[in-house]
Amino acid sequence: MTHIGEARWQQYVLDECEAETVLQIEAHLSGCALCRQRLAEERRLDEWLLETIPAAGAGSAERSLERLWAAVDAREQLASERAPWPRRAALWWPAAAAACALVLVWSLRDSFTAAPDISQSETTAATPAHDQVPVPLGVNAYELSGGSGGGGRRIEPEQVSAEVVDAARLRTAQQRTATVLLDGHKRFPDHDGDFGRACAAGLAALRAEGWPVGSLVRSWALGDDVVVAAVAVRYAACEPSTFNVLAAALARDGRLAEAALAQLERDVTPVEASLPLVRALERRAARADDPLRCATLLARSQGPRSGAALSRLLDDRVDQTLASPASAQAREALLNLATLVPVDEALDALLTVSDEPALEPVMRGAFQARLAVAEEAGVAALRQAFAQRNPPSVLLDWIVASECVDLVPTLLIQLEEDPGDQGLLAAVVTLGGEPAASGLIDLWAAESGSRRERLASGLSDVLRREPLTLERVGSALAARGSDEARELSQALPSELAAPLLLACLVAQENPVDDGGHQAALLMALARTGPSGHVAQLLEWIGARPADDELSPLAWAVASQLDGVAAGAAWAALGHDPSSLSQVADSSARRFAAASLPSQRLLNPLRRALSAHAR
Amino acid sequence: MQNRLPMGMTTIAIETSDLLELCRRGDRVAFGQLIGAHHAAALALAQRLLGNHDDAEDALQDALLKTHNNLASLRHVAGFRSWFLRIVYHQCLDARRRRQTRQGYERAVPPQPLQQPSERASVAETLARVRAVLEELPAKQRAALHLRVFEHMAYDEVAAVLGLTSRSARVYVVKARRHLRQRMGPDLEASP
Repeated sequence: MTHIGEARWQQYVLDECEAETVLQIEAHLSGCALCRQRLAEERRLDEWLLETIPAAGAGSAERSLERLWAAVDAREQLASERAPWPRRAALWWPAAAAACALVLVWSLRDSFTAAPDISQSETTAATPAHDQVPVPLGVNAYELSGGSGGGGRRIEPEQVSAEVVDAARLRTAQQRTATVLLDGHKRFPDHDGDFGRACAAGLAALRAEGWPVGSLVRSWALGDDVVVAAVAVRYAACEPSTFNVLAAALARDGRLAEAALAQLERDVTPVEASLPLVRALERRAARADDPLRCATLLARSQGPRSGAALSRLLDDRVDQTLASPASAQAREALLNLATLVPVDEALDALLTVSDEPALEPVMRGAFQARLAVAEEAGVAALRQAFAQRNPPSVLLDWIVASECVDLVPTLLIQLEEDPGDQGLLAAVVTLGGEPAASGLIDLWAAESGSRRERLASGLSDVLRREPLTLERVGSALAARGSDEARELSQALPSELAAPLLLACLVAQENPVDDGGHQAALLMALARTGPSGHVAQLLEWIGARPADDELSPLAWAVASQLDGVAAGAAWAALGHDPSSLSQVADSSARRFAAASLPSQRLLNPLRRALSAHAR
Repeated sequence: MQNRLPMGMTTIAIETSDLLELCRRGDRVAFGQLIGAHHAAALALAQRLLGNHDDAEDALQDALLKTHNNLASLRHVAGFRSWFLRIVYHQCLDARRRRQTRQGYERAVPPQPLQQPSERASVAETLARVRAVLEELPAKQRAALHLRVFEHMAYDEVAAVLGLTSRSARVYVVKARRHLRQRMGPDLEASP
């Protein structure tokens, strides 16, 4: 029975079908318990969803509006209490001027403040004076010598007095020049005083190596100094607080982000360990300018955070691609991303876009690219996915090449929905096996005209390639009755029809059968003409009682198929040659009724017996 | 489109455009009438997105204030519902973001397999499972599913609320349903 396709099913469940389609589906539902159960489950799901939202209490809207008007009134009252604009402006200008003057004074004071001398260790003595020679931000200039973020080379910054530290901390807090400072300060309290020391040391000293990374993170806000920032990036290894440095760097453009990316690509930093870092990479990957690099980093860092980020990115890409299927950039982005996500997610996304004709090549390319990376997982994902829904036609080639024989039932269901699909039929035929043959017989019985011929031709191909399936297929055919077996045998070439009918005949050992079906099968067998499949028939005759009423007909048919072999068997069983005339008489009527030539019905058998007697 | 304004024992019909004009002039009764028609839908959407009634009411309150302040910017009267729900949707997203910040970094853990229904789970347990599965859905999918299935909105309108294309809105709804079915499958089969 043809079940409802997934797309139509979803439309029906969401009340989107046209009236005609609704009638068709409801007609199907009335006869299909499985689909009725599925529909009941869908409705039950809707009920549950509805019950998860408690109904708004009575007067809820009124309460909301009361609160709204209270807020509006308060705001209006506040506005009315404020001085009118000209008066306020008159106060603002002096205040703004004073603020500017203060900022100017602080800036100038920075220039004149001497940084405390940082004691230089042996290692840092070799470091160029960063406060005098600007250090370029290129990756090579900041290559890690030890690969461990400077471990073992750390210098202890000079201890400064509490007054200096407090003053510097206060000054920096008042400046509030960057959000990094505020965020960093909230998240990482300055218990060890490093931040205060860093502030007291000033920018120039911070350019030296050896400062704790947490201090650099916070001190970065001192003026967004690129050199300090680069040092911070360089030292951002695996310390939790330093992930924020990389995340903040990724949020910026240009060389700083490049340095952070290069740092991450060195495979030092476990991205998965930091949600801010994952988020920063995700945000950057979502942009159009450099999506692949960040997505690759996320894919390399295997874990739930990165996986979820990639999943969200993929959803967005699918969305964008569906919104503008003609955009080459969108297609390419989807293609790239689909090669990075787990193969089951790629498959899910690609199936989502498969309804869009313009995306078909993208889908094929992306999926093939993903399979090239993870073929085994891809096969498993495909099998799991397609066991529940129909595979799109573009993946048929792959299914056939991967010999996914267990997908044959799914393909047959799809073929049932669209019997004219040559690609599907070819896939079923190529995959072959008993399920394919039995399914094709079912489809053949339900079709007519040229489609029926094509199905018979496909079935011939399957049976010819896999003769061992004939017996099992014959058994299945026996269950359908002799009429269909006879019709099918006429549509198949004789070398296939005869063994199929024989298999069917052998399987027709039904105690309630009155012999009518077997007789019909024997007649159909007689129509196939001489063939080399008489041995099985003779064996069948030999296994039956001597007085079986079908025996004369069976001997006659055996004679038609292969007179020599039948004659030898007749003689071997000790039958009297004179009784051949009785056999001929009883069979002739049936042959005549079936418009088969009966005049020389047993001649081959007679000749064989004569030869045997001689 | 007409709204019914109760007035004593009678009701009078006021065109939405007139109602809107009255609102812009500061008529609070008219604003109450305009909001009253969509309040339940907005609250349900907020609850769906935020998961609890208190947060939903707070978000809706903020959305109402924004709606009131920006009423003058609404050009197309016919699109009031979409416009209002879009404000609610974005307000809920902001609220979620604030909540996540408040609670520290979100723990991104893979969805845990739901426990199999022992024999027959109680209704409350089943609803708790449904809520848990809904929480797994991205906000956009959850909102799309809600607007389509419970508010019976056309995909165009769902798309207008969520800032999507119509086709994308449909994809979101189908994906959400598929996910729910997949995750709730054992419960569905176990139910009578």
